[in-house]
Amino acid sequence: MKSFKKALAKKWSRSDDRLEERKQRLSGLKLGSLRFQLLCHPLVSYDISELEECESDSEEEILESVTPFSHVPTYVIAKIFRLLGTKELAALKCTCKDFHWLINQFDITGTDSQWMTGKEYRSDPCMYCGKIQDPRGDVSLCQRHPKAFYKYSVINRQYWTCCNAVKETTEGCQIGLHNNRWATSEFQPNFICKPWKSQSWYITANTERWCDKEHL
Amino acid sequence: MPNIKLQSSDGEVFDVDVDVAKQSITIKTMLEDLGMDEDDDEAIPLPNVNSAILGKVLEWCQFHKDDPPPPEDEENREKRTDDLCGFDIDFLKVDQGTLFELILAANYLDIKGLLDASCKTVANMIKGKTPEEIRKTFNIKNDFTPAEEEQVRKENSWCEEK
Repeated sequence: MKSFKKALAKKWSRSDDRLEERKQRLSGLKLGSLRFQLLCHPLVSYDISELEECESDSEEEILESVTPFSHVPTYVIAKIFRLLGTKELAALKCTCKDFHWLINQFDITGTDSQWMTGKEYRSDPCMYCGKIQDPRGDVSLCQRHPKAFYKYSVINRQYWTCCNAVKETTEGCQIGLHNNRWATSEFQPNFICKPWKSQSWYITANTERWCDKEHL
Repeated sequence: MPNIKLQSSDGEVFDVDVDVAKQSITIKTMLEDLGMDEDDDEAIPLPNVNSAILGKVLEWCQFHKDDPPPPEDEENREKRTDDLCGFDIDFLKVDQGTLFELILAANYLDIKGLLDASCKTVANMIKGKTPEEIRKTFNIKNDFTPAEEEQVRKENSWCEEK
């Protein structure tokens, strides 16, 4: 082992000596010309114009992707978004992937949101359209019919009494906010009333309760 | 009145009243932690703020130096964007680049009032706009694929409606 170490040390000392000798022999001028030759070598050289084109393309792309929000920290953008209503947040979610991600990630809700976020409300659907709140960043707007769906199977007549749309599955004609707080005076069971037997109606979302409204 | 010196990223030095400068929590903490004397000739370097923006920030601090401290319970406060004072509205009538630089400076210097006001201004710029108008206003590229866009629009109904 010792002999191996000695041999290695000798080898290093020799290589150091050689390097010193070479340095002494080569003046600065020679080194410069050597460098130039190396750079001119086909393996090293490249078409500068091509590279510039490439760079300009990438620069353009970068410039295109730079927005005023690019340098702003995400928590500051989230702070801005928290000042907005559900409708604006819905629009922002449709703007670009980054905003979509940010609203979901930070679970941002509109200033006017009526979703009840407590554990006891989590599985309660919107009382107008029946939607259950998304786990994070639900800023969707509620599509609903403000009036009841009239259906009389005897004469095969049916339509939404608000917009006269014939199909029951027609998207709501009114834009609003979801509300899953059922125990309020705002409770409007219009969307869920369906005829059951003759002259009787029941609430599909809450089968235990009978609708006492006179629909016919 | 005791003054301190603040040096912007481009080397310009601002001689500022201590009370005005101390509206920035960053500067206040620096003065306390580093034990810098108010009569010290050494300027505090602010490498993230250029002279133009620092000048504007100090102008805002000068106007608001007698304001009461902002309340702590921000979460419980009503989030309004139409409660900016007249000075702030005029002060923030600047080009978009300057507005976002002010946001960055206010964030760096930890000036809550200025950050709130500038964030509210940006929020007001977003309000009432469709996704396309938002993209146009802030030069944002639509990076959704057609299928993704369709899906997102479906999820967030009436995106396009005003």
